[in-house]
Amino acid sequence: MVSLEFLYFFLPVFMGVYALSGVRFRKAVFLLGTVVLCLWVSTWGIIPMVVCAVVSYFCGRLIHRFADKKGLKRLWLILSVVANMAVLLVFIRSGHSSYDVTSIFTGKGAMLKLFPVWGAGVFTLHGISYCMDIYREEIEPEKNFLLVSQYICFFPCFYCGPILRFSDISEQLRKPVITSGKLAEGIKLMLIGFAEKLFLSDPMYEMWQHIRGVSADSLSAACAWLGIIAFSFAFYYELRAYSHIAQGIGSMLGFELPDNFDLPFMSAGFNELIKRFACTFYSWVRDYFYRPICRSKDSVCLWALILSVLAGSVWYGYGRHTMLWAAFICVMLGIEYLLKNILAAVPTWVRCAVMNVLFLIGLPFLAIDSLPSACGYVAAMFGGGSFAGDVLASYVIKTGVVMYLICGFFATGIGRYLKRRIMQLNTNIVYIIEPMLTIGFLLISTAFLVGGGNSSMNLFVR
Amino acid sequence: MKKAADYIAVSAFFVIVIMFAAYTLVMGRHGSESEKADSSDIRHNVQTYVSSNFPLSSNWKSLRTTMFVMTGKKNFDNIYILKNRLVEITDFDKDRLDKNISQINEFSENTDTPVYVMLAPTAAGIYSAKLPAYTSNTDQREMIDNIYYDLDSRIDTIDTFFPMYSARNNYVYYRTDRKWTSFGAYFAYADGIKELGFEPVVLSNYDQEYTSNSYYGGLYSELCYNSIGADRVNIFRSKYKTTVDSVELYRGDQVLTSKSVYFRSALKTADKTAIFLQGDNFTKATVKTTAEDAPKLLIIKGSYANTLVPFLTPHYSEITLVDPDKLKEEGKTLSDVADTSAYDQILFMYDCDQFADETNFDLLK
Repeated sequence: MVSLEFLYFFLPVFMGVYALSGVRFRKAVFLLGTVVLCLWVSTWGIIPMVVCAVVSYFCGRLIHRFADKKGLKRLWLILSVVANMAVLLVFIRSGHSSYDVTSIFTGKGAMLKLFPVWGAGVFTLHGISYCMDIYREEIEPEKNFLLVSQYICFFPCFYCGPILRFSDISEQLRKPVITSGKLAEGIKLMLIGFAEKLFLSDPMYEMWQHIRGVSADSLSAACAWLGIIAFSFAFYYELRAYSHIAQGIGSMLGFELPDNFDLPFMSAGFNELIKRFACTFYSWVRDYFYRPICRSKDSVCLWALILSVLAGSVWYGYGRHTMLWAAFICVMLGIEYLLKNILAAVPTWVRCAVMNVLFLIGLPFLAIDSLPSACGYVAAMFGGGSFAGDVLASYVIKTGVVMYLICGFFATGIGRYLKRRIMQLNTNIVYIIEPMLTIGFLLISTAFLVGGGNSSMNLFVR
Repeated sequence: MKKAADYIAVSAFFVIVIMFAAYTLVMGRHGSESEKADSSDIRHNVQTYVSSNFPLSSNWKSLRTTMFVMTGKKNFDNIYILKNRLVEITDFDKDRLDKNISQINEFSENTDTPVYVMLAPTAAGIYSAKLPAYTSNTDQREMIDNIYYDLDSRIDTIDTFFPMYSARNNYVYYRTDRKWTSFGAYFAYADGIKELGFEPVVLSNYDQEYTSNSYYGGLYSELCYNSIGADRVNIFRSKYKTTVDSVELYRGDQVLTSKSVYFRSALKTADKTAIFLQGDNFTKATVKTTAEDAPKLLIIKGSYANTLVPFLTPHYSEITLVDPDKLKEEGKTLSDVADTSAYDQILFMYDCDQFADETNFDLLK
C-alpha cells in the first residue's frame, strides 16, 4: 500500500468513483476496489478471500436459522471457523515465501509455497468474529451479502488491523458519510502513516540490520542495546504506520475505525503492554480465543492464557523462533501475576522503565532467526562481546541520534500532549498548521517513495 | 475556521496528487526498451513506468537525501557521504574472484604474448581512512596484493595502488562518480608504463583542458545530494603533434571512426566521461597511431581503461580494446574480434571492483 502507484493512481481514481457514486452503490465500488488491489498483489490471491466471505455469510445465516437446534448451530459455527482458520494458517505468511505455518513446527523453509494472499491475517479474523458473534446472539446476521463482504474484506485494515467488529462498524457501513472534516482527517492520518513507515520504520530497520550484521562476539553492549532499540522502533512504527493508514483511508471513505495503539511503550507492565499494543487484536484474541477456552470469568486460566499468547505471537511473528518470544511473554506475565501485590507499591514510572528494559531483553528472540544467535545477542547486551574499540556505537550515535530522538518523541506521546496543550491555548493555530502538515507529509512521502524506491521491507506485515 | 482548513487540505492534496499523476501519464515515455523486454509481469512494468516517469525525480531524491543528512545520516546503502565526495564501498564474492584469477591464468598459458594485469583501486580503497572505521570496506591494497600473488608467475603485474595513494590529495577520482579522472589515470600510467617497458611522457608535455565543469556522475544521480559540487572532466592534450592517426569503434555491425580518442559529442549527454572513447559502449576499439614501428597492445578493458588509453598512445602503433561484457552481449569470443598472437603485449586493465565482479573472462579464447 505504501507505493507511488497506490498513492498517486489508485487512490484518487478510487476515491473519485467512490465519492461520486451514490450511497447505495458505495459498497459495490468499495468491493471493486478491494478486488483490484487483491489482483494487483497476486492473481489467485482473491480466491481465498471470496471463499471466506461466502462461507462466513452463509454460515452466519445458517447459525441464526438453527438458533434453537444446538447441534446444528454449533456445526455451522465449526464449519466457518475451520474454513477461516484453514485459510489463515495456510496463507498468513504466504507473501513471505521462506516461512509458513509448517515451518513453525519443522523449522525448515516453507512447504506450502502458494501464491501470496493479501490480508489473510485479517479477513479470516473478521469472518470468525462475525460468525461467533451471531452464535453468541450478540448480533443478527446481515441479509445484504455486499455489506457482509465489505466488512470481511475491509481492505484498509488488511496489513495489520485494526481488527474490526461487525457490531461497531455495521451502522457506518450501511450509510457511509463523507465530510470534508473526515476527508481531511483521513488524508492526514494516512500520510502520517506513510511518513512513519518511510521516515521512521525503514531507516530504523536499516540501522538494526547494520548492527545485526556485526557478529555477536565483537558487539559491544552499547551497540547491542542501540540495535535492539532500533528494532523495537522499526517494529512498532511499521505496525503503527499501517494502522494509521488503515484509519486514514477508512476515514476518507466515511468510516471511523478504532485506534489500534495506545502508547504501548508507556505501559506499566506486560499485561498492560499487550493490551495497548494492537488493542483490537488483543481484544479479538481475548473474546474469540481465550474466552471459549476459559469459561470462568473470574479466575485466570493458565493454559488458555499460554495458548492465547502463542496464537497471538504466531499471528505477529514470522518463524519458529516466535514461539520463544511467546514463551518469554508468558513468563513475564506469570511473574507479574505472582508479584502483583508487591508491584502495586512500586511507582508507575519505575514499572514502566523496568517493563521496557525487560521487553528489549526479550526482543532479540522475536527479531533474530535462530536461538543460538539470539542468545548470543542477549549476552552481548550484557557485555558478553569484546569491547575492542566501540567505533560502531559512536558512529550509530553520531549518525542516528536524531532519528532515535524523533522515534522516542512520538512513541512516548509527547507530540500528542503538545497538540492538546496548543488546542487548549488556541484552536485556530492547530487548524492553520494541520493543512500545512498534511501537504508537508505528502511531499515527504513522495520524496521517499521516489528517492528510495517503493518500500520493500514489509517485514511484519501479514 | 476548521472547515476552511479542511477544505484547503483536501483540495490541496487531491490537486497535487492528480497533477503529478496526470503529468506522469501524459508526459511519460511509452514503451521504452527495458519495458518491452519483460512485458510478462504487468505489475513490474507499471512500477518501472511510474518510477521512471514520475516528474521532478531528482528534486525528490534530493529532498530525501537532504532530510536524512539533516538527521545526521552519512551512508545510503553502500554510498557514503564524506566531506567533499561520495564514495561507494563494495563487497566482493571470493569464489567469483578466484574463478576470474584462474581463468586469466589459463588464458596466459594459452598464448605466447606476454600478459600484464593492472588493477586500479577505487576511491573507497584510496580514501578508506576517511570512511567510518567499522564499515565492511574491503582493504583494496591487500585485495590487489592477494590477486597479484595468486596470478601465474608468467603474468606481469602492475602496481597502481601506491601511485594512486601517493597522489590522493590531487584530483584523481571524480567526487560524484565511481571512476578515476584523467589525472588519476596519469599517475597510474606514469608508474605502470615502466613495467610495460617504456619511459613515461612527463606531465609538462601535456596541456590540461577542462572540457566540462558541470559533470555529475553515477553516485550523484543515486542521491542527488547537492552539497557536493559538480565534477570537472579534464582531458590531456599533447603540446606537440598527437600521434593518434585513426580510431575505430566496433559495436555489433556498426563501425564508428574518428580522428581522436576524445569524443566531444559525449559532453552534451549525461555521461560526460564517455568523452574517453565513448565509455563502455563498444565491443572493440582500435586506436592506430603514426608510430608505425612501435609495438601493438591488446587491452582487455574495464571502465577504467578508457581514461588511460590517451596516455598510452605515444608508445604503441596500435592499441586494441576489447570489452568482455560486450562480447557476451554479442555472443562472441575474443578470437572472433582479435588475434592475440598479432599483438606484442596483452594488458588487463580493470578497477578491482569490476575485476572481482567480472563474469565473462571465459570468453577470452
